Amino acid sequence: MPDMDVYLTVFLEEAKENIQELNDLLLELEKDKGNLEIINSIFRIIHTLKGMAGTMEFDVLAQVSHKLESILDLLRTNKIKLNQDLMNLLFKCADSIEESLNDIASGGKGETFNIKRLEVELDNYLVTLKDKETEYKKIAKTESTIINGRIKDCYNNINEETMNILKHVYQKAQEKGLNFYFLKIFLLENVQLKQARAYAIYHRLEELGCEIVYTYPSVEEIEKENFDRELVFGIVTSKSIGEIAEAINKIAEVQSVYVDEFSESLMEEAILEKEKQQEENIENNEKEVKLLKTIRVDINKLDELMNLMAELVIARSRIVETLSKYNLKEVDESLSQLSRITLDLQNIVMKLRMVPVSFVFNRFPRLVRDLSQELGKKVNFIIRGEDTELDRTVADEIGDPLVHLIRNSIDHGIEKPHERIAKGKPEAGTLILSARHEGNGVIIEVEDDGRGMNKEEILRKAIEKGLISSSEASKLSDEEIYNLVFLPGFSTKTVSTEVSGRGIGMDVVKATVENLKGTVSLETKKDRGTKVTIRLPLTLAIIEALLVTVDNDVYAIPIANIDTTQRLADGELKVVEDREVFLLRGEIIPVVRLRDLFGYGRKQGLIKENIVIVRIGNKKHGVVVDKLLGQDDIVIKSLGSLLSDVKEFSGGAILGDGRIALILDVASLM
Amino acid sequence: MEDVLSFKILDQEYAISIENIESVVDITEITRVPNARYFIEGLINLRGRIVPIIDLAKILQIKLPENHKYGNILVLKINDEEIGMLVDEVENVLTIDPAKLEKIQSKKDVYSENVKGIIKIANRLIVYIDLIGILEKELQKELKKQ
Repeated sequence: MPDMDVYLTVFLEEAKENIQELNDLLLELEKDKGNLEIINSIFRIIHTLKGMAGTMEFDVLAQVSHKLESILDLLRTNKIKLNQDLMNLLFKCADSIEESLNDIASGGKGETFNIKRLEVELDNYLVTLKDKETEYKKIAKTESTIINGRIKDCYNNINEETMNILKHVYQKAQEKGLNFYFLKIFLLENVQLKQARAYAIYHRLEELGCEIVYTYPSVEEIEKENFDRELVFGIVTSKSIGEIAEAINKIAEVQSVYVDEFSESLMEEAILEKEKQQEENIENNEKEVKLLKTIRVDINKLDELMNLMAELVIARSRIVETLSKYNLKEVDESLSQLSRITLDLQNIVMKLRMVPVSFVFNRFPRLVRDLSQELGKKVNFIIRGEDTELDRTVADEIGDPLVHLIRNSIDHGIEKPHERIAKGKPEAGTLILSARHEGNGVIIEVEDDGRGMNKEEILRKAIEKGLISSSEASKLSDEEIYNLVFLPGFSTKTVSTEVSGRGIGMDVVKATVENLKGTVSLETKKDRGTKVTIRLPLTLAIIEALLVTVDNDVYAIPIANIDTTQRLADGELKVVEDREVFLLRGEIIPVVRLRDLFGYGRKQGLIKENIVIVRIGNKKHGVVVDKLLGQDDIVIKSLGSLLSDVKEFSGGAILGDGRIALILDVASLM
Repeated sequence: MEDVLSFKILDQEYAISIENIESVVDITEITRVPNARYFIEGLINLRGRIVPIIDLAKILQIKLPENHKYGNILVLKINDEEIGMLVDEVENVLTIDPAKLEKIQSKKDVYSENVKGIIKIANRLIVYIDLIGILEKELQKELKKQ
């Protein structure tokens, strides 16, 4: 079913967005438990989910959503109160649904163990509620006065015209000293012959000498059985509320009855509310219209678009080159316009790949909440700069390292409340996750005000694990000591906790970030906290590079790796221990000649060579090339799996004149 | 029945399954990739895409005259990646019966390992090669070395 597959992707993407939103809303709701607006939004999400799951025939998911919806409905109609238990149940629902979605994504039916267990749990919850409700109703039946809140919705279906008539009837009844009651009657679930029951009630009321002035649904609708279990009657009578309630209750298959005196103010209120709701509906419709303005695009299509862009740029350069031979003034203007348009287009295509970091950050409030609860810590979590945009590919990869850093901060960094108080710090720790643009990249920081890292402990651990020798240890600067945590096989906690000790350590964080052509560094102060800074390129697709040549071939060196460049004078390279080195401001730098490394043979004629000083971390290397062509933004392309063994190059780029430049992977030269 | 495309390197005709063939382009400037595998000629710019180019002659150990110039590049799509193969001339598409392929004993291992059989049509003798098998084997070799 290829068609279903298409829907499945859409379903999964939308469902995942819904779950994200659900989590956000739940967090808000936890802070503001009485907020009906939030409950309504949650209700809508679950309702959507139920519909989608039903259509896709993921029955368990649909069932759970349906039951959850019932609970939410009770919440929003104020029939139950939101307590912490229920809150936790709701969070659990979000988790289980997400898990189920992941199962579906990996080809399952979404029927995970947890979601099945949750279904039972929701059932139990609903059953207990029903018990409570019937008890409540019993009380309502015996006591003749009825809580207004429960019967207010009788008025919901009254339009303005009817309202005026009813007001008139009410006045008349009062003049005659009669009572004007509203009855709300629930028939039993699965009642047979509803119409007959309704008629029995009707008949009974007439027997009691009641004048029926209003019914909902209308008499015609009742005759057609066009109603559920609920009937509303407006009656004028001399009997008391208690008498009426008792009489109706005796009719078979009536589950419950509420009787209340007619109230003008309540009716007006109900009508006002209805109007408000209509307005809201209109607003919601508007929102939906707005949403329709975005579309989903497969990222591969964007890549294709980018390839085409590159071709366009190349085609443009060719035209410019060809026409420049003829020196045609007339085409100058149109050519520069063409250039401008292609440049704009290129920028837009680049931007299309960008997503705000909130795409990644969104899931963290929930993580922080759960972790801090689990660990008995109080954490004030602050997110800054979530609008900062970065490449979708980068965003996809950066999530896991950030999760690890946040876990670290809460588990190892931030102290327990009593510990913090003893240190004179505020009881709740602060954890700041921030993102911002800086230069040609994005900086993401995870900062806590916890206990900081312990230098001695890091050293001890590093020596114990054989990462350094004790003689080396004494020579290390503070910074170098803290950087030891990035080494593979390092973990400061002897007993790994469930939270942070999941096998991935800071070395994985570092590796992931470096894979994304970024860097990671950390600052820490005892009892003041730790700050981990991740620097990432804005995009993986385009980098600034220095173009250099060897013979007629062009190579690109990422600007991010370049320290400086210099013309090479004769005899400037010295040979030390069989290796060529270069002296830069007194520093001895090892040198590689691309000519030798890439097997070009001896240089021809009298080309003046250049040296490019490249750097990774604190290590520097000199790269000897023929000419420097200058700086350019290049679009990185993969060389494919046939060339994946060539470690010297991280990819290739097509230059303005159509030539291919290989991009040097500077790290491989060291 | 299978469809194959036949092409020439020097005077010998070869054929590969048509499934993997995307297009045929004229020879263009090839950018050498230093330190790449022996049968990889380099990269071409194919309408804005970078495509690696392989030389079948090197894999099959065919001796080419020193000034030999290929005329075309067969662009293949294997596992969603484009790969170009140098050929002299592209001949035509043939429908063959795999059951009628003839196996001949070859002196060279490269043939017995990489050839599906010989196609005989009129007086043409076409070597039907298993290109995907060849490439997979080459990639495997590299893995073992590492």
